[in-house]
Amino acid sequence: MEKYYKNIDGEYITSISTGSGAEEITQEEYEHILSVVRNRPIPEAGYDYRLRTDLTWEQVALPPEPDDPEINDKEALSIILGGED
Amino acid sequence: MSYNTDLQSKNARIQALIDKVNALPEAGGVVANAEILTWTPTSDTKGTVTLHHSLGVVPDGYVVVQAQNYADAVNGDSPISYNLFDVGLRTAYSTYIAPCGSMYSIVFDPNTWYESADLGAFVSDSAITFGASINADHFVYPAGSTYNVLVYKR
Repeated sequence: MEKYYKNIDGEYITSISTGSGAEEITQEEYEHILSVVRNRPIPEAGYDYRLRTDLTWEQVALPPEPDDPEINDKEALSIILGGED
Repeated sequence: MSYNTDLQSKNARIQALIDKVNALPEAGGVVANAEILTWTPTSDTKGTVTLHHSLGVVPDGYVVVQAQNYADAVNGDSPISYNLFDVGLRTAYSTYIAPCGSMYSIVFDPNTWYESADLGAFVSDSAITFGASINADHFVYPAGSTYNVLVYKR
């Protein structure tokens, strides 16, 4: 018999699963959560939504992307040859 | 070597292993006897996620792990690694470049160590408790996407 679970971190449901998980739930609750997830609002750029345990969405700001400065060929060669600027 | 060539080679070997399991008299088909674990994130999730599940004591058996790479819609073909590990922290793993939308299966044979780095298994020197996990780095698991781990044990 299939077993259904929800996996919670603090005030948020981070995932749902079958076969293995943290807190066993009914199939009906599993399918309801799945329906909520698949109908979540589309987040604006730079934001995401997290699902609270009361099945409401909380908009959260995503962390800034790490800087990934490109270097030019001269700088790359300098690094390869010893790291001098 | 291109990924595609590598992919075809690995798929052939993996399929051979799956066929081997299916050919076992008591198997009756991998899927029919499989335990299927699924995982669905509720928000876009980046990084490594582990489906950890104790399979119990498997003194002599095969474990089939199957998962589909859905994440390529976000970041292109992605490496996925599959891991089995026991309580002694011995680990068998497979790292694989999964094309967009591909379904990938691997069979872990606990009686054999494979020399190849991409197919592994435990030496079955005693009763072993397995865990199964699917890990993927460097891409996003979209909210609402579902990942399956199919486990068969003899």
